[in-house]
Amino acid sequence: MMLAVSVLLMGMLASMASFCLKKAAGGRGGILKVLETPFLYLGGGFYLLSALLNLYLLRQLPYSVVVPLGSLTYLWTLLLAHRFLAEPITGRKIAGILLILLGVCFTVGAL
Amino acid sequence: MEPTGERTSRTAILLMLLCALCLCGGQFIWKCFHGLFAVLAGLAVYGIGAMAMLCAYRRGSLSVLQPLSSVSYALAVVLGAAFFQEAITTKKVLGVTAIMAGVFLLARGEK
Repeated sequence: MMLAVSVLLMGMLASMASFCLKKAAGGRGGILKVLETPFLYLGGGFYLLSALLNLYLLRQLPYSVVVPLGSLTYLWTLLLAHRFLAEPITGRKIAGILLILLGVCFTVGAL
Repeated sequence: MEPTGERTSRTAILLMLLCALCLCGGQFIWKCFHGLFAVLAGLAVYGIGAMAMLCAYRRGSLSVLQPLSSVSYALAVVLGAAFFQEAITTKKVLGVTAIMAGVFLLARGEK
């Protein structure tokens, strides 16, 4: 349903935004160089979309449920970092993700 | 930019707590108020939080700092009860605790 998709998308877009902004900030040169990279604007765009979804969810769900839903971003960041930065997925990270998912299920179950 | 040494400075910790406050604050504005100005105000608060986070990361290790932003989830439950009559249920407390534990494990995940 719309809500579940919005929740997943919100986290995914925020994660992608972080990646883009990290890329934008990574190059050499000062603030002017950063303003020239397309990653800055791509990242900004993703953040804006994520924020709009966040807004939508706040209209549909309680505040104390929506804010913790932002923790799903960590899941997406893990997947993106593994896929694009070859960061290893350790057992501890899996445990962390499972705890987050468990926590999200509890929090949403409180609806 | 490399974090300075192994000790995470107190400034960095305070900046992360500010970041958590902004995460809650931005969404708080969006929950309470409608219209374009509210959207922009919320985005501005988010922006401040993002800046605080970037400054913090330059002053300390990720494994200590990243979990700190997750206090926003606990804060959201409290604020939800205080301002939006969203009951603090056992499920919510368990959920937020699990999420925070998960974030902690993730940040220390290089096993």
